[in-house]
Amino acid sequence: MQPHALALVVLLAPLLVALPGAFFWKRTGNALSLVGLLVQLLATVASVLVLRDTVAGALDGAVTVPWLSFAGTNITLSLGVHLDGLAAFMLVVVQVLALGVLVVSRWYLHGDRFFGRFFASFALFVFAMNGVVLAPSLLQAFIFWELVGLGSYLLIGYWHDKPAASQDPEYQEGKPFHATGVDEDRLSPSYAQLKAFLLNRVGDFGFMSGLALCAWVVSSWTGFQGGDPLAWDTLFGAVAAGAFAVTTPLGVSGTALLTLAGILIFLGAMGKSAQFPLHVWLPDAMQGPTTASAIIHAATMVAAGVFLTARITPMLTPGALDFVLWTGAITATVAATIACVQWDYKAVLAYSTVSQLGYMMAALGAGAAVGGWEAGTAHLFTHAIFKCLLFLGAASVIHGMHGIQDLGRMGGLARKMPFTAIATGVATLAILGVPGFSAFWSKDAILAATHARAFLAREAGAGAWIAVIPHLLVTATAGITAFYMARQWFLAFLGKPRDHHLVDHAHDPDRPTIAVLLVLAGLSLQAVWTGSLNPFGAGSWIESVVTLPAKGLLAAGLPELDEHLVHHLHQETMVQTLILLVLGVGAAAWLFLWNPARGGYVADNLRRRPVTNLVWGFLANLWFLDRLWTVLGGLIVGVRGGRLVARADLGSGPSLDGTLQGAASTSALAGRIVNLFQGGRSGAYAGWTALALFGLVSLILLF
Amino acid sequence: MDAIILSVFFAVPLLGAALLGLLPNRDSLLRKVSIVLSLPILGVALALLALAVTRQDAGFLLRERIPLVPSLGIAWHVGIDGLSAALLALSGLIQFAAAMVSAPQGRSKLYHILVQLLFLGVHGTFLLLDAVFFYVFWEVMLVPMFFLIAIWGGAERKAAAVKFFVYTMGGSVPLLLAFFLLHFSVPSQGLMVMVRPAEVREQMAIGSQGEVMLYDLPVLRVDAEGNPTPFAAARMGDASLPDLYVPLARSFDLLHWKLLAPWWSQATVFGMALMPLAFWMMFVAFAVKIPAFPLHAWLPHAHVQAPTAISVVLAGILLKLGVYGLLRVVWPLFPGQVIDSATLLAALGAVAIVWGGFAALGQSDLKRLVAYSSISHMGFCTLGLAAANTQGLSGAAFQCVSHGLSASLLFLLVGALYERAHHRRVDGFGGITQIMPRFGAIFLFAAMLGAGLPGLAGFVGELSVLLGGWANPATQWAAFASASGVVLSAGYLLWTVQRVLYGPVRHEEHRSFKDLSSAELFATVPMVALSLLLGLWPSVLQNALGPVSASLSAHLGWVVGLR
Repeated sequence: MQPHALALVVLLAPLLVALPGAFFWKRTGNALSLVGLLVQLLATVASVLVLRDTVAGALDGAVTVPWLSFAGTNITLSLGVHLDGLAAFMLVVVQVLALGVLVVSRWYLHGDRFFGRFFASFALFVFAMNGVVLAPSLLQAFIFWELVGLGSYLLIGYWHDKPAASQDPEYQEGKPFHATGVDEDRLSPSYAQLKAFLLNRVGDFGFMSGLALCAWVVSSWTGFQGGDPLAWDTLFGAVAAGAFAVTTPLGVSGTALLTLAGILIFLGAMGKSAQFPLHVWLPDAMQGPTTASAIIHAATMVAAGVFLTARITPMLTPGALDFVLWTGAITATVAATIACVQWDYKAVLAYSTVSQLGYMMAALGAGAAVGGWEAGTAHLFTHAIFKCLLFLGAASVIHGMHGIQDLGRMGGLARKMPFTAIATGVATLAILGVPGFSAFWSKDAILAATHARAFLAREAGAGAWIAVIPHLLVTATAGITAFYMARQWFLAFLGKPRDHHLVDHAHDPDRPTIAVLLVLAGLSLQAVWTGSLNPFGAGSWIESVVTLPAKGLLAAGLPELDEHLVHHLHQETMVQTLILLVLGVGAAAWLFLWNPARGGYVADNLRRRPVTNLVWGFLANLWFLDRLWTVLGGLIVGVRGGRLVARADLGSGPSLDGTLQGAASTSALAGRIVNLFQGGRSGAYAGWTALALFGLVSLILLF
Repeated sequence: MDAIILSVFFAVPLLGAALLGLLPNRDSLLRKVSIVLSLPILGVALALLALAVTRQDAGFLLRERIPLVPSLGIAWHVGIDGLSAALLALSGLIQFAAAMVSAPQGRSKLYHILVQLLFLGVHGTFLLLDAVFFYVFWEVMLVPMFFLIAIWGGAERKAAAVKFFVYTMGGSVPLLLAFFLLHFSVPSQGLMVMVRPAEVREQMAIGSQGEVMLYDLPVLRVDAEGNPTPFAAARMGDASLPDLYVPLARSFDLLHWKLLAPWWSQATVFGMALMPLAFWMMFVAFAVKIPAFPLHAWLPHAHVQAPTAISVVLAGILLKLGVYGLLRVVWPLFPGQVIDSATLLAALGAVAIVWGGFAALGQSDLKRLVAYSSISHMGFCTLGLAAANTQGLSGAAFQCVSHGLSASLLFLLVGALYERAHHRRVDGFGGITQIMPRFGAIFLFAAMLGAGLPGLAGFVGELSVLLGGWANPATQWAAFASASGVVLSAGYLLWTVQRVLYGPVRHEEHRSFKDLSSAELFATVPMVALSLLLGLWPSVLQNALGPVSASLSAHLGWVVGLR
C-alpha cells in the first residue's frame, strides 16, 4: 500500500471508535474500549509501516484533495496527507503512546460512570492530533488544531458533573495539605475545560490572523502559480523567493512582515503548548482523568504547538526565532520554579511539562543553524515517552492511594508498588538528564544549541549580554528540574510512609498496565534513541530520519559552525549540566530524604523567615499568573467588560437606541400604531395587513 | 415559463394561507399543515440549489421578465441564481423547523396564516429583480412580523414590536426614496452604457435574429460608421470582443440598474453627487436588517419578546435579507462607493463583532445572549461585504447560511429549555446535560458551531471572510480586529455551556425535565446534519455562492476601473 494511503488509514482509523461512540457510549462502554484498543493497535502497526516506507523512500510530499475554492481567483484550499520524516516519526510516537494510554485507561477508569465516553473522546483526540501531524498545509494544521482543542475540551471536562473543588468532597480528600494557589471556588472539570479552550483561543486569534496574512501575501505574489497558498511547499517557496518583501499590510513590510507572520502563528503554538503567559490552563487541565493527562501532556495537544513551530521553522526570521527562544526560556524557568513547591503529585508533573515544553521551544528558537531544530524535535519525542510514563505512573500511584494526591502523605511506596517505582524512577532519571537515559541526549543537545546561539550572538556584538540570558535561564532550569523531580520521587517512593494506613494498602496495577509502564521505561533509555550504548557518543539515528526541509529562509543553506567549536561548547554544557544535576538531586536528597523530618515541613520552615516566606509565597501562588488571568482576563475584561457593554447597549446609555426609544415613546405615531392594533380581533388584523399591502402597492403604482 | 416555475414560491404560501383559513381551528392540524406547506418550498429550492452547484456559473438558473407598466419600466421580473437558491433553501429549512416547534398560545389560525404571509415576503424578496416589487415584498415581511411579535410575544411584546417596526420602517423609507431617485436620475431619453464582456458571456441569451441579449436588452456594438448595430451571438466566441453597449431606459429593473453602475457614479441629483446619497440611503435600509452596528438595537428586544418559532425565523432568515439586499441591490449599483467606503464598512463589521461579542458576554438572559451573538456573527457578513472580493463576498453569503443554522439551533434549544423551566436566566440552570443528554449534546454542538469550530459550517464563513478581509488592503485592520471574534464567541457560548449544561444539578425540580421531544429533534437534527455536511464539504454550497460572488467582485473591479 502506498505510504500516503496507509497514513490516511492511520488518520481516519480512530473515527471508527469516535463516531459510533458519540452515540452509543453509554450502552457499549466495554465493547467500545476493546474496539478502541484493537483499532489503535492496527493504527500503530500501520504508522510503523508508514515510517519504514518514509525512511526507505525518503518521501517528502503531500497528496491532497481540494476543499474550498474561490471562483475567480486561483486559490484552492486543500486537505490531505503530507509525509516526511518529522510527520512519520511523530505519527508513530502518537500511535504508540495512545495505545499505551488506552491499555492503562481500561484499568484505571474501570467502572467509571462515563467509561465509554472516555474512549470516544480519546479517539477523536487522537484523530485530531494525527490530522495536525499529517497536515500538508497551514490551514489543515489549523483545522485539526482546533479539533485537538475540542478533544481536550471533552477529556478535561470528562467528569463534567462535578462541582467546584471547594464543594467536592473527593477533591478535598485528595488534595495536598500544603496546596496553595488553586482557585478552589472556581476550579472544576467544567471550568478547567472552558479555561483550556479559551486560553487556546487567545493564541488561535494570532494563528488565524497569521494564516490569513500568509494566504494573502502568497496569493498576491506574482510567482504564485495557483493552488493552495498555505501548502508548506508553496508557502516556504514564497518566503524563499521574497514574496513578503513586496507587500505592506498594516504598514509593515519585508522582514518585519515575515517576523510578524511568524509570531502571529507562534501565538497559536503558545496557547496549545502552554507557553508563558498562556500556560495557566495546563495545570487546571488535570481535572480530567489522569490517563487523559498522560496523552495531553505527552503526544497530543501540547505537542501540537511544538510540532507546528518545528514545521514552520523555514519561515521564521531571526526576529521571530528570538521571540520563540525567549518565550521558551522564560516558560521553562517560571514553570520549574513553581514545580519546586508543589505538593500535589500531578501538579509537579504538570509544571514539569510546561517547563519541558519551554525547553523545546527554546531549542527551536535557537535555530537550525546551531542544531536547535534537531534538539527541539528530539526532545519532543523523548519527552513524549517519559512524560507519558510519568503520568501513567501517577495514575498507578493515585489509584493505589485511593485518590490521594498529596506527596506529604506518601513515602515508602517503592516497597508496595515496585514496578511503578522502577518505571517512574526510569522516567525521572530520563527527565533529569542522567547519562544513559533519553533526555540526557536530547536535553543536552538543547543546551548546546542555546549555548551556541548565545556564543554566536556574543560574536556578533550588539546586546551581547542580553543574548546570553535565555541560555542561562535554561541551564539554571536544568538544575531546578533535577531538584523538583528528584524531590517528587523521593517523597513518593522512598523514606518512611507518612500515612501508614494509606500506603500499606497501596499495590501495583494490573499486568497489562505494568507491561505498558515497563515498555515505556525501556523506551526512555538513551540507547534506543542514539543507537549506541555509549551515552557520550555523538549523533543519533533519528537525526537522519527527522530532517528539516531545506526550504524557505533555510533554502540559502545554513551557516556552518566550526566543528571544534561545537564540540567544545557541547562539552562545556555537558559538564555544567552534570554539576547542576548533582547539586539539584543532592539538595532534594538532603531536604527530603536524609532529613525526612525537615523535608515534610520545609514549607513551614520557609514561612518562618520574612524573605524566604516572600519567595515561597510567590512560587506557591504560581507567580500570581493564574490569578492575573482570572482577574484581569476573566473578571475584568470578560465579565465586567461584557456587563459594561451590555448596559451601554440596552438603551439606558448614550446609544442610538436610547435616543430612538425616547423619540418613539413620545411620538404620537408610535402611540397610534399601538392603539390601532391593541385589542382587535383576528379579522381586524388580517384586514389591516391586506389594507397595508394594498396601500403600498397602489401608492407605488400611482406614483 | 421560468416565471411559472418560480411562482411555486408565491403560490404555496398564498394558497397555503387560504387553506389554513378554511381549516377547522385545531392546533395540531394547523401545525401539521404548516409543516407540510414548508416541504414543497424546501424541495424546489434544494433542487434549484443542486442545479446551481452542478452548473457552477454566475448565470441565473431561471429568470423571466414580464413587463407590466412599460411607461415606468415596472415589470414582474423574477430570477434565481446560486445565491438566492441557497438562501431560499435555508428559508425552507427554517420554515420547516419553525413550523415544527410553533406553539402559539391562542389564535393559532391567524398565527399560521401570518407565518405564510411572512414567508411570502421572504420568497418575493429573494426572487424579485424589480425594485418596485422588491420593495413591496420587503414591506410584506414587515407587517406579519410586527403582529407575530405583538400578539404572541412575551410580556413587553408591544414595545418590542413597535421598536422593530420603527427601526425597519426608518430604514425602508429612505430605500423607497432612493429607488425613485435612481429611477428619475436616468435621462428620459435613455442611455447607452458599456457592459462588461464577462457579464455578457455569463448572462447572455440569444434573440430571435441570432443577436446577443443581456437581461432582455439587445447588446450592441458600434460599427465603422458610428452606428450601433446588434452583436451577433456567433461572434461571442471571439478571442477579443469589441466594446459592447446596451441601451437603457428609465426603469425599476434591478439588473438594468446594475448595468447602469458606471452612470450612477457620475450622475447628480439636486446638484449633489447621486452615488453617495443613494448608497447610504439604501445601505441603512439593509443594515438595519442585518443588523449592522449601530442600527442593531431593535434585535435583542425583538428576539427576547418573540415566541421561539418566530425568533428562529427572525435569526434564521430575516437577518439574511439584509445581506442579500446589499449583495443584490446596493453593491452592484455603486461599486465606486463600496470601494471608497471599504474601510468604514469594514470597521462597522469589526465593531459589531467585538461589541456584540462583549454584549453577549454580559447577558444574563439566554435569548438575549443568543441575540447579541447574532449581531456579532453577522458582523462577519458586513466585513466580508466590505472586502468586496470573492473570498469576502462568498464568505458573507456562506456566513449567512451557517449563522442561519447556528442561531436557529440555539434559539430552538433555548426555547425548549424555556418551555420546561419557564425562565431563561443563564445562572438558573446547571447540570442540564445529566437530565437531558440529547439536549446537552445538541447544545454543545450548536455552541461549537457558533464558536466557529472547523469541521462545522461556521468556520467556513468566518475563514473566508477573514481571508477576504486580509486580501483587501483597505480592510486589513478590521480583519485583524475581527479575528478576536474567535475568542469572544468561544467565551460567551462555552461559558454558557458550562453554566447551563455542566456541574451538578442545581435545582432538583429540573430533574423532571423530559429530553428533547421528537418534534424538537425533527427541527434540530437536520440543521445539525447540514452544519456538519457544509463544514466538512463546503464545496456543496461554495460552488453555488462562489461564481456569483466572483462575478460581483469582477463587476465591482470593472466599474471602478472605468472611472
